[in-house]
Amino acid sequence: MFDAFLTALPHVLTWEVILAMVVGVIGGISIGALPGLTATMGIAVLIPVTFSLDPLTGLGMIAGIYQGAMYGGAIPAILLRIPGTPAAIAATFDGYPMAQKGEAAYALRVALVSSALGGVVSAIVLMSLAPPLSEFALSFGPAEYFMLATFGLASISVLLGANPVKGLLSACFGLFVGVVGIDPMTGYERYTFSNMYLISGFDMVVLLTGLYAIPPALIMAEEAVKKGASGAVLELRKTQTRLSQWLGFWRIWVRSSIIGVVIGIIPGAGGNVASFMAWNETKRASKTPEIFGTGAPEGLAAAECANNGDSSTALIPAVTLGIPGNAVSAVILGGLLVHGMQPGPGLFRDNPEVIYGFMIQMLLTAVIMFVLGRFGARLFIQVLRVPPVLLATMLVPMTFIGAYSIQNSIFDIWMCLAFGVIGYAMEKTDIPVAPAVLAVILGPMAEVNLRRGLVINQNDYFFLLERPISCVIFFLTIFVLAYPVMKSLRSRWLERRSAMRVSR
Amino acid sequence: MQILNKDRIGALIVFTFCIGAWSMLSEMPAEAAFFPRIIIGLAFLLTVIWGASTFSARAGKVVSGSSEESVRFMKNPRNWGIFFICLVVYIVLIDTIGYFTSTVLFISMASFALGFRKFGAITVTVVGFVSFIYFIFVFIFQRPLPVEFFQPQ
Repeated sequence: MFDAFLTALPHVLTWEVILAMVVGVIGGISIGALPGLTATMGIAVLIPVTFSLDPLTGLGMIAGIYQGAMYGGAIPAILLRIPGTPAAIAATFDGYPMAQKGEAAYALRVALVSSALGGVVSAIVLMSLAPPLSEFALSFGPAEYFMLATFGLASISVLLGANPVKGLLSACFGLFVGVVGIDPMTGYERYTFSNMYLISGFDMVVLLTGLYAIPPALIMAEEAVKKGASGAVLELRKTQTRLSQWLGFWRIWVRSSIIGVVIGIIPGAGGNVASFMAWNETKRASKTPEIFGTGAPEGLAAAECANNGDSSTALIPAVTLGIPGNAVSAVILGGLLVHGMQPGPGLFRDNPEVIYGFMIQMLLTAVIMFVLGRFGARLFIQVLRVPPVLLATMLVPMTFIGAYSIQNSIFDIWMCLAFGVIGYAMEKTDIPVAPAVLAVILGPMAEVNLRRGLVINQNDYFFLLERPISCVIFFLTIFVLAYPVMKSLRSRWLERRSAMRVSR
Repeated sequence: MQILNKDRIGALIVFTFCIGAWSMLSEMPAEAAFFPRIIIGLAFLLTVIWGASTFSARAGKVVSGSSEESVRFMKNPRNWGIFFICLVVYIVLIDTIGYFTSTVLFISMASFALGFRKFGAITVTVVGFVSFIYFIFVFIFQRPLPVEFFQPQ
């Protein structure tokens, strides 16, 4: 494993790849800093640009955007109390009060150092766990792959969002989109309406850009905010920080990194869950919990460290099994597919320099993010001056040209718009988009493995339970699906019990 | 009542879509229709649960406690409509007069139609954005983009 990393290292340390990582981090911090734009959207829009690049150069840019956006989200959270990304919500609790006290520069520095540390720890865990897990996954057959796909979909649908029914419906939508095109087993056209553009199904990039980039543009246009942040809010006072101040954070960083790393591996739970949990745990462990929420640097450090602590570990199931655990990893999988690579254990065997190189890039981009954030903070916050209405009008041509450049087809631009409107409607009806995106990737995998397994086992569905790993995953899936029902029944029982106590 | 309507209308649209998709399954060979049948069947079941949940007493409680702002589907339908029309016209123009010309028109017209009247800022945005796209897609990556109306075919 160590040899593989050493072999991949020279491929990563070329000037093109380093430049791509730097550009990616700058783009990522800027995207994350703009409220309404997320890392997922940034990567989705960027994939067509990376299409012409060497895989490792393109992936370096993707890794940079991912790491950069996770930190960038904290900038408006601290300065304006508007989280740039969903994962930065917890950063507003203490970051904004700190800025109100005139400590904006210190708050940004705490967020940067904590994010970089979280990112480094997460990348090291990815580099340590992914290779052995991929070797283990080589023994998986159709039953295991079908059950893994089902488990991934069930967990993200149920755990993401408040309503599991809506999450599962979103997954059904993605599965349906995934069946459009030629049936992989019989060659029959499904839902193509004899349209030649639909024969090979919907393009992943068109779907991703439509679902992730068009809805924010529609929302920004709808709100039509004509002014960016004012200059007074964006002024940073010079502050000095002592080494002793930083050393005081070490316990928080260790605790929050562990929380971020563990949460990242769980499908469906993302950076926002990790940062909330870390903030809460730090408050609980503190001798002065009352200062949390009023501008405690410890709270901000915990939230940001955990937020970036999940970034690389969220990719573990994606790169080793081809099962993305969240929306960003689904989009990164889309990026790998665009470059002709099939995520899963085979990736470690067929393209070791690319996948090991990508893991090194996740580590290096965390360091690059620290350097750029340390010296460019004053520059990055200027993106907040861009009026959202102008941003909306620029986002659309950027998205459309990406969709067009995949197959040089105007039809793909129309499809991008259609998916954008669907994504907007989903957002407005509180239906999460991530399960749909995951389902588009996992659907064909689930279908092929289920049908292949049924053919091998003469239509006996019990083949899914015959192997121990698939059996365990089956019961985990049942548990995940039953969890919201159990939770609801428990809360009703508690409500009834408290009502009975009151009546007595 | 709006939150109920929003969810009910959503459930109705998905239900209608499921009926349409299910009716097309009969045209497919049984083997090819196997997986879509499972998906649509599941979607039917979930849509019924979603629709039924809007009639429950709990949903009613949620509505009575919600602010009007949080239950509205669109904050400003007029702006949304203007922008959507601009998008449709923009796509038609990309195909007819080329990407860069239509992008210049789209950014300036859409921002003007949405009430942004700082012409200096619009000009800088248009010039900066178009130059950036040209640099990335044409100069560096040499990707073929829809041809401009003034260029030979």
